[in-house]
Formats: sequence, C-alpha cells, structure tokens
Amino acid sequence: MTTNTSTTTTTATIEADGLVKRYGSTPAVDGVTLSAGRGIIGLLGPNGAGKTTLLRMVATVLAPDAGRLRMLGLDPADPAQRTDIRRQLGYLPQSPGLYPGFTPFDLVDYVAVLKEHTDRDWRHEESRRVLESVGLADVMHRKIRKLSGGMKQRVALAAAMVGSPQLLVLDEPANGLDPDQRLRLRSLKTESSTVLMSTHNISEVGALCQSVYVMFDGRIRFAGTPAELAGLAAGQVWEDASQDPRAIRSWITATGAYRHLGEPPSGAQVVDPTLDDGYLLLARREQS
Amino acid sequence: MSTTAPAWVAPTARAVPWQPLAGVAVCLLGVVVLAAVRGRWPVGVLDVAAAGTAAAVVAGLRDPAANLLSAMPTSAARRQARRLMLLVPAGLGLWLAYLAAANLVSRGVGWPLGPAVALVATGCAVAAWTPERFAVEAGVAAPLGWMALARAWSGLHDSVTPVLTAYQSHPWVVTAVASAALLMGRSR
Repeated sequence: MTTNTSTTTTTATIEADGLVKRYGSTPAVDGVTLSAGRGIIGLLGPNGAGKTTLLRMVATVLAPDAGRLRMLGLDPADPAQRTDIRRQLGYLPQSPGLYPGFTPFDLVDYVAVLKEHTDRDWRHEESRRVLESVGLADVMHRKIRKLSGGMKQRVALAAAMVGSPQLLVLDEPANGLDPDQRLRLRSLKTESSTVLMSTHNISEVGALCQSVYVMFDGRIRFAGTPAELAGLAAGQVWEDASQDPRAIRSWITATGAYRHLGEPPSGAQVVDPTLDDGYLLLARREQS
Repeated sequence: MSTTAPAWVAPTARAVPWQPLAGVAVCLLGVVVLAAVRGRWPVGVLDVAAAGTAAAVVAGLRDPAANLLSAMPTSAARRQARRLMLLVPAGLGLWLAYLAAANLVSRGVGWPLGPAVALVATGCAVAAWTPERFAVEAGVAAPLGWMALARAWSGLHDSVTPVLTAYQSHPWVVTAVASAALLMGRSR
C-alpha cells in the first residue's frame, strides 16, 4: 500500500493525549498518547490489546471516556466537527457487514451517497476507480452474496477508500485475504495521506508501514519505525541446531534450525533480528 | 435533509429488509381469507395484527452494513430516519389495506389506525434508547410485548389497566410521547 504525499500539512493528522476507554470497569484503552502524521502507520498487538477500540475512537465511532483526541485538526467530541472529520475519513471495521443483494458497484455508490457526493457521474466514476484499485473490476456487477470472503473484504476496503479520504483507518484489512491478495494489498495505491491500520501480520508492517505502534493491555508500549522495532532484539537472537533451554523463547524455523531469543551464550551464532524477533521480545517482556 | 435526497431513496429501499413486512402481509391475508370463509370476524385478532405490523416495521431498521457505515458523515440517526420514511408508509398502507379487507368481511371492524401507529412509534422509541447491538430486537419486542401484556393483564389489576391499554385508549398521546422519546434518543 503506497500513499500519495504530494501535499503538505503542519499539524499531525491524529493527536491523542491520555486516551481512555473502559468497558465496565475494564480499561480497553488505558492512557494512550500518540501523534501520527503522514504515511502508513501500523498498529500491532495481541488479541484484546485495545487496537480495535483505539481505531474505533480514531474513526469517531466511539467516544473516549477520558483524554483528548483530535483528527485532522478537528475535535470529534463536537458534532459539527465530527461530521467534518467523517467527510475526510475512510473506515474499514473489523467485521464490516455488507448488503448481500447489492453488487459491489451499488454498495460503493451508496457509500458515496452517504459521503454526500451529489454528482451521479462522479460517483459512478469514483466507484469504478476504487473497485478497480482493489482488483474487483471483473465482478463489480455481481451480487455480493456470490463473492468469496476475500472479495467481500476488498469490497469493504473499496468502500472505505471512496472519495480519497485524507485519513484511512483500517482494522485488520488483510482479514480473509489469501497470500496473493495480501501481496496485492501491499501494492495498493491510496490517495490518503495518513493510513492507520491494525494487523496481526508483522511482515505486513515491515512491508507497508513507515511507523509502528505496539499495544499491550490498552497501552502503547512501543512507538518507532519497523527497523527500530526489529532493533530491539539486536544481539539477542541466535540460531542453533538444537533447542537452548536458556533462551526466553525458541522456535524451529523452516530450515530445521532453532531460533532463540534472549541473552545468547558465548560462542552462539548471533543473527540479524527481524521485526518478529523485536515484537516477540517486547511481548515476552510484557508477559514477565 | 441533504441535497442528495433523491440519490438515497433507491439504495435505502434496497437495503431495507422487507421480509418481515411481507411475512406479516401474508399472515394478515390468511386471517382475512379465513374470516371470509367463516363469515365472521375473529375476536381480538386486530390487536395481534396491529402489534405484528408494528414489529415488522421496526424490524426493517436492521442494517447488516451498520458497522461499515458507522463513520459516515450521514449519521446512523439520519439513515434510520430515511428507513422509517420508507417503512412507515409501507406499514401504514398494509394496515389500511388489511382494515379495508376486514371491513368487507365485517362492518363492525371500523378503522382503528391509532393503535398500530402508537405501537410503531413505541417500537422505534425503544430501539432508539436501547444499546445498538440489540436495539432492533428490543424495538421489535416492544409492540409485541405491550400487546401481550395488555391482553394478559388488563382488567385483572385496575391500577395498571389504563397504562397497559393506553395504546388503544389514547393512541395519539402514546404516539406523541414515543415520537418525542425517539427524537431525544436519536439525538443523544
């Protein structure tokens, strides 16, 4: 996924300060502070870390219980400003839900209507453009109920991209996509200047994102570039033919060798860390 | 209303689940045919029919794409209002057609429009004040539940009878109160 960065802006697209959201007494998001500008931003974390709740607040769907949140320089707590944000926002939720009796073209056109685009010719042209960009040109007039799960996910992605929103919020966009479709997602061109996406797929973050946030238990535990996340494990990854009990985490690789995380013993064959190594080390620290 | 008003009508009409209303229409037709065959109107069936029609109208508010559309500049409240602008006339048309057919079978049926309208308004108001994930279910249950309570308990307890039968005795007051509650609920 690549973004068009031809325009300039002086303020961060997303500014959150001490953001809190509770479900009952359980905090789903617990004091998140972040400032995100242009580019593709990845949000990593285990299930239940609070990623979806944070994305829903950024998408103006959920109001925070405490803290300050601004998107595109506007305050979503104010109804008029919230509507203004939504005019410049595309949102792909985790479980989007579609109308089975619609065609992808009908659905995307309806989304354009709800985004207040009045010109019918423009809407139709835009619907074709976004559906072509997600690789659905051939099936845009087929009923959604006849499409595969991956195609439905791309219909929802196309709907989020209507009107080239300045801010695109994507919750697990690669859900239900096969490897080929995941690769296509990586080469997807978007006009949005800021894309915030959550994912479980760490390699996607490495391939797509300029910056990454890692969440555990409702809090941001890492903010930096993918290279910096991988760098957390520098000098702490080694490979061996057998499992090493001193490692804090070990797993067998495709080559049959064991990859270990932790303090390497003397003489160990230390290897370059990957993004997975950095994330797993961070996760291990959180668990302990 | 936005300037895109004409553009929303067709896709909204296609997005509305019409099956509950169609199902109720088939049931009402069955009642009319049976009554015509027997030559008399069954006692109490109007009440059940009004609640069923109201529940079917409220069921049309179910939106499978609500998540996808949750961050649109056209708010969920406005989208629901648009659905009601299509559903209420359809429900009203069905009810009037039913009453017309019923009057052909038995002149004593009359034209009790108010109770059905009051139950629709009540269902919509309950849906507006219920958490989103089961709002439509609660809205559908409201007219059916009220009708069932009225049939089961009115007359047994003098203190609650006026409340239980309010949608029959004062339907336009109930409609006004429920409509106000609906507007307040949607603007929360």
